[in-house]
Amino acid sequence: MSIVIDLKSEVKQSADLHLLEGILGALLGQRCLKVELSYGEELMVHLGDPVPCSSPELADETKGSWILGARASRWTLLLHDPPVLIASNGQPFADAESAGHQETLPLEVEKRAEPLIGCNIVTAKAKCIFPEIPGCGGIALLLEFNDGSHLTVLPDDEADDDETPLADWELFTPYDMYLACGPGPVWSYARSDVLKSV
Amino acid sequence: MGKKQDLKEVDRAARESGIPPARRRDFGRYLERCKRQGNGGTKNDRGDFVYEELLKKAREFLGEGV
Repeated sequence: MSIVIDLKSEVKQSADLHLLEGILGALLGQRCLKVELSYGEELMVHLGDPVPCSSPELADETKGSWILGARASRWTLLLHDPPVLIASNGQPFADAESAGHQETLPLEVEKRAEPLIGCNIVTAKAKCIFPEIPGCGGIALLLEFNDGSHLTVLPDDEADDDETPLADWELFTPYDMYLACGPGPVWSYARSDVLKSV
Repeated sequence: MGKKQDLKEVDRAARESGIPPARRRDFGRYLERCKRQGNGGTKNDRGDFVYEELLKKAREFLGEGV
């Protein structure tokens, strides 16, 4: 069965994973440009074509035409070559030093993730997790790159009943639109160039 | 929960300052750059920003002066 998705049309709120994976299909073949940790240690993966930052304060930087932001969610990046696992679980490992693990500075994380630069996405999947916990389910994102590296973003297993809840992950597109997944097993696709009323 | 709260405050400061989602990403990058250049905030010894500082940084980011 074929599917046609207008990537300039908003989707207010949906639990349709089939449609979500359809949108994620646009990531297939996109090249990783850089991996950075933004404020709040948010993982940002820049993909696609390099475009200049429009902000004067970042005039010397470029960004990807597609940007994945992991917000405050846990994530793991398993690099294939050299084999390195970079993870954010929000908690330092117990006995980390004795086990050969260490808490790493953002700059060091960015450096260690550099082997992902130039790799293309070959699989992009969304998966519902924790559906059995009322109010706590979420949508995980699974990306696979052509060198065998994997990136997984896992939503929080805690309910977020704040007035302005934080999405579990976001994907900014070149079409002035962005995908916001969570909290919970729902997602939306909305304009990124305008402020929406809360 | 600290990370989540930090990002919520950034989102709130961005909304209050008229920064749309697409530029909020750049704003977060700008805040991180300030921290790494030693121009961080007073929230903790990592240089994170309290809310009033985020609003001030948003004005800087938008080129509105302070």
